[in-house]
Amino acid sequence: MAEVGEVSEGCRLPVLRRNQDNEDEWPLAEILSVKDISGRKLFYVHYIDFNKRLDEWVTQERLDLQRVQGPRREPRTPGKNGGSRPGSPDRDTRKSQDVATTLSPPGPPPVSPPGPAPVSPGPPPGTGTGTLVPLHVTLRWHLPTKRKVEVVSPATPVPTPSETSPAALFPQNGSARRAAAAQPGRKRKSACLGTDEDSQDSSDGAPSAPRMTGSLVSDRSHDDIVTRMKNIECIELGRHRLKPWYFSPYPQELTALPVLYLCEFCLKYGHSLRCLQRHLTKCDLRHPPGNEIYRKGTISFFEIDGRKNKSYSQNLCLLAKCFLDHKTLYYDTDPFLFYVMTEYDPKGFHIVGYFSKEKESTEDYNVACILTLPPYQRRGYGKLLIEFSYELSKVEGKTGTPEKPLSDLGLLSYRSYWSQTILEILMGLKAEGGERPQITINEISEITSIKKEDVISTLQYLNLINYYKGQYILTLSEDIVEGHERAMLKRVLRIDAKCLHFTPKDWSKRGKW
Amino acid sequence: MSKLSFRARALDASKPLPVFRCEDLPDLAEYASINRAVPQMPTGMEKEEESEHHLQRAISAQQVYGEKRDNMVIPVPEAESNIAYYESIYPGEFKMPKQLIHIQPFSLDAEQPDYDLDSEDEIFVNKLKKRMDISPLQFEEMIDRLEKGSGQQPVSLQEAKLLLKEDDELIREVYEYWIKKRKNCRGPSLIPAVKQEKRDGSSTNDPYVAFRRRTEKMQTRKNRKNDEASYEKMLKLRRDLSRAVTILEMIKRREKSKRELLHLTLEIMEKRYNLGDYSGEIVSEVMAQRQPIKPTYAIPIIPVTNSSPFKHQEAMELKEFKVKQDKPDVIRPKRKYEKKPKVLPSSAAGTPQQTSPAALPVFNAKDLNQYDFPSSDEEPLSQVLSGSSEAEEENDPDGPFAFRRKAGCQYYAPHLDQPGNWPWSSPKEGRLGDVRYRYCLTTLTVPQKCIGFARRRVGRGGRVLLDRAHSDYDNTFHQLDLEMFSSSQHSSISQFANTSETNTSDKSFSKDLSQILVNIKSCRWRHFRPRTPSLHDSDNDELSCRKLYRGVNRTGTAQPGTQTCSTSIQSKSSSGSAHFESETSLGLVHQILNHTDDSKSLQSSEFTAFTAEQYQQHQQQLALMQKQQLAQIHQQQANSNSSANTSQGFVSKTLDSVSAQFAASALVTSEQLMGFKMKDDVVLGIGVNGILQASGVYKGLHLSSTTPTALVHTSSSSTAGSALLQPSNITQTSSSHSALSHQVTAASSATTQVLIGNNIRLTVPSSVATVNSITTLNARHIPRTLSAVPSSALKLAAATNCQVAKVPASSSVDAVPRENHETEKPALNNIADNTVAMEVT
Repeated sequence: MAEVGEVSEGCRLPVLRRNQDNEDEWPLAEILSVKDISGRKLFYVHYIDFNKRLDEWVTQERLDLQRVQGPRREPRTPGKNGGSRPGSPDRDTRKSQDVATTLSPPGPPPVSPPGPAPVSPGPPPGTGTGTLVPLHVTLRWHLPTKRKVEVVSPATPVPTPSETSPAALFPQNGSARRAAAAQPGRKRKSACLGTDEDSQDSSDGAPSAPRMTGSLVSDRSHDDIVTRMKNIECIELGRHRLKPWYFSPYPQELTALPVLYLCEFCLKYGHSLRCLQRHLTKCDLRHPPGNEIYRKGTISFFEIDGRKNKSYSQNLCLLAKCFLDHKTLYYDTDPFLFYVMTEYDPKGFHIVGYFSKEKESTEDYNVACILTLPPYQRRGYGKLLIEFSYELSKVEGKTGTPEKPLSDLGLLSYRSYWSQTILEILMGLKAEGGERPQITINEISEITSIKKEDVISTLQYLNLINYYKGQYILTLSEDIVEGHERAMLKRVLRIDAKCLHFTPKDWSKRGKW
Repeated sequence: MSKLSFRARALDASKPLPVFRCEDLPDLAEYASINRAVPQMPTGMEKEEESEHHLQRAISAQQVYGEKRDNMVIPVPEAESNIAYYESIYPGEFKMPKQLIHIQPFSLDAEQPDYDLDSEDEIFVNKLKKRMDISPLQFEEMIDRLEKGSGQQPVSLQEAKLLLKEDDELIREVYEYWIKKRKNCRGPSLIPAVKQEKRDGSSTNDPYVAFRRRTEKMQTRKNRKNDEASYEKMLKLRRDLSRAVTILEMIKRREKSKRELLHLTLEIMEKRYNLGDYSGEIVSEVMAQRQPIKPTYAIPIIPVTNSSPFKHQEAMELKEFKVKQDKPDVIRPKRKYEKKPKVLPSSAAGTPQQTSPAALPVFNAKDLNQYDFPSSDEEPLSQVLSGSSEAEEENDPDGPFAFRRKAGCQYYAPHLDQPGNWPWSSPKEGRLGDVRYRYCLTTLTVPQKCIGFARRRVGRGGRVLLDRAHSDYDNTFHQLDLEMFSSSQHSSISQFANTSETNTSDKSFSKDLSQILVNIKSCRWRHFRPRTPSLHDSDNDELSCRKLYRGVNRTGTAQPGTQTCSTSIQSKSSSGSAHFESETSLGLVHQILNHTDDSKSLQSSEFTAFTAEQYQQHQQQLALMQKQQLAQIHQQQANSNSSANTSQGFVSKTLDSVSAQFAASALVTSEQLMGFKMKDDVVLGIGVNGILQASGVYKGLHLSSTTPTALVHTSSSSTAGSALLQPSNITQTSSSHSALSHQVTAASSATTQVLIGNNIRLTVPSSVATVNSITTLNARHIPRTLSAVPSSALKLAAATNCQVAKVPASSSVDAVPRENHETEKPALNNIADNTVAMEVT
């Protein structure tokens, strides 16, 4: 039994959490931060294998102090930065175990052999030095090189740690780094410690800036403990109060406030209700400050140029960052267009969600970031946003795909949209001249503006592609058909292409965005 | 199962996939195991997150149930939507516009303070309000200014007073409040703002720094071309504008100078008036004293012979304009050009005439461009030394008459203090004048009379102009007995030459008539009698001669030109020797011409005496005969003609040999021919020194004009030997004239070089206008009869051609075939042909 005082950053222990069914659970959590408010200790916990958005401050009553695992790693040479990201090392191992055991993924098996984490699942709690050294220092010093090391090494098959392979296969979308971050601990313990360290120290110069294209960070070398924690407690936007999910770089002095007040039209932030009131006397916006390019019923879309309307774009990004984990605000908004979806009521055009889009995408991205604000989630707006983004691509005559990585919600939404869109086409196919109806993947892609790869992945995900008697065929099972029909009944919000007034600009012809 | 033993093919996105219902394929399950052949697509999520509990649960739920169950959704933090005071703080109704909202750019920048007053401020403002006049908005504006005026350090009170417009007391109050509040503020500013990156880049890792500027441009390769072009345009624009500035500057100076001059003149007038200098005595006295000091502007600007002496210099410096400051009036380029024709003769290698129109100075755009700046007096000299580029020479409108600098030569500015170096001013006066251009007695052929003193010059198109001078003896001259002069020649000049006769008075001063006659007879007085250029009979058959002329005149537009040409040559070609003294040589020519039969003997003996004039005459005759021949249709070979000339074939033969001889002699006496060449504009393009240095446009023409001659020679020599060679000639000089040069090069690619070599050697003969025109005409009509050319024949032709060129004296043989060609051609004297021919010449 550990004392509360001994529970520090990096420790893992079961934390009481109430699930959706109002049942109490004790999932394993990691202490990311500890703070002391008027004598009471609060712990910022991240539930392992749960999304970060569920991280929260808990009181010590919710900690199961019986089963505390100390920080995994003994602090390395204390003179140096002292360690790595608190607690992360073994997460992956455990997780993969969990996944393998409890949650056998129903989808097709991943490319890499889903290793059941055979090797030591990390040292037992006691293996650490036992001295619980608070580790505030961020990982970023070590990340780049470790990542490099990791990315390189899997070229030769490394049988032992199951995580390495996926990491190596997708080094670009950040998982490599994560896995890498997890790796070195064990590595160090095992063998190749010396060289690893050296190369780290020598090559770790100034951290490099992230790439300048795109809106989602794939290189998270700047990820540190600060950005892993929510910093805004509550945002008031119009008639809504939102609980942010992730870190957002609002001015630091505002993070201590219980509520951050935003003007719901210009999204300007203020620290008090009085400020907001004062602001509202001066702000005469009743809609996003852009051109309305779509209106049907109460739903409108506004186009905002990230270069021409910087303050709104930045405010929008700050707000969006609260709900998008991988979004980066590292660079300015100049190369982006923002399409803000609003719902009209007599007070004005209220923001429902938005997506941003690069003016010129080198990778066929038609969406950079996409968000339905939490109050409007689960009501079909997300799909509406996605549908709109593809309508724009249709006008442009291109296929498009959302920028990666997708979030969990993003993946579900997109898959859902893709599935419904493709099934809509497949079921609408009529047999011609007594022959089976047929269609190529490229045709589907052209009709829908969904990028070919996404079409294929959707067909696979729906298990529609089958190899039958020497050729590929598409098969529609009864379940699929029924499920689709039911889903389409619920999907009432649709984009009407006739209401879209949009002429794409050729941004490459302009000097700047 | 054997079905599984093969591997599935890769999925082809462009291959049609038939769509089945599962019910229709009961055996599908058997095939399911090879479905893994389709590569799994990545989800696009971060792998780590992909395996998150809730997501996996949702995915599996979706797959199991086909849709999401409420309790299977991914949980998110809750949001409330029941802000009670929402209605009150957000202003009331906003009516949806009918049209789509279109925002005006920059309409967003309403000048509203960014600072929003909070409750603490409100208390302060309310308190302050009791003492002073202040509104919340005013307060916000003040704070806003103070905040924005401050950097890391807040502004001082003094600075605040400068920043704010309000009265001092209010400023002090607000300032103190602001300073206090700012100290307590946690942030760097009372207006919360997202952290900016620091300039030194040290903030790279601060997670609160956002929206960094993108230092690198995302796309640089696009529009690069555009940028370059616009950059050049900008440069050009800048240059042009600076030029405009310079010009304006100069104009300003000029106007200033003008004003100064005016004032000075006024002053002088006043002074004179005061002095009572009404007659101008004092002034002239003073001016006489001042005489030695020459004012700069007194020097007339006369360009050096170079056609473009006033080139714009890019690096023109202002000091060059200083000269101009003294000058009240900038002399404009046009004026210079007006002077030019007068000046040119002095430099044109002793040839006074600017005969051909093409050779006259012509304005072209390029020239005008060169006059961006009126240049100062000093410039011509400096620029003469600067040398002109090749390209300019090519575009030179003056063509062969252009002054061309030679490397290593130093050129001096003209002696402008001396009067013009007119050809008629005598050497006694220090001019290079030629006696024959001085006034002398002149007798016209038609009407036959002596017109008294006149001098000749050549006008446009080779016309001979006679400037008459009045003398006391005019009457006497008019009465002079023409029979006194033994000349029997008939001048064509009267037909072509514009005598600039001014009707001089008919006053007769019957002085010592006999004395005059004696003087004339004893050649103490020069007497000019235009002679007939085409004398072909020793017995002076005037009738036939006239007849011939008429024929010539009838032949069309081109012919007169030729005539003019020749006449002008006559008038000037015998440079150095007085014209009327060349009778003997003329006689010689006639002799030669008439005794055609023994041409061979003639060649050997007398050709050394050939002059250009003679040759010209001969050519003219040739032309005449040709015309005659045309009039009467000939067949092949030299047959007897019914014309006055009984043995035309022979005549022409001789003529040709003559021409060849002339070629030889001309090479020797090229100097003599200079003047002759100068006249013939195109052929002159070939080069002054007998070297092929065709200028610009003329290059091609030159080639075409010369080659035919060469070819004629070839063919002629070959026809002498074999009939085969005739075809060869034809193909080489095919149909249209313009294509001629191409044809030559193309058809006789094997021989071209030789031909060209020939041309070089044959430059002089080929440059003869008439010959060329004839030969080209010939050539043009030959192709009809011919098709293919044996290359061997060509080679032979080339070889013979070489020979011809080398040994012109012995080539009397080839004269015959050539004439044959001439005779063989049908009537070809349409105007077009002639014009083309003229172009060539």
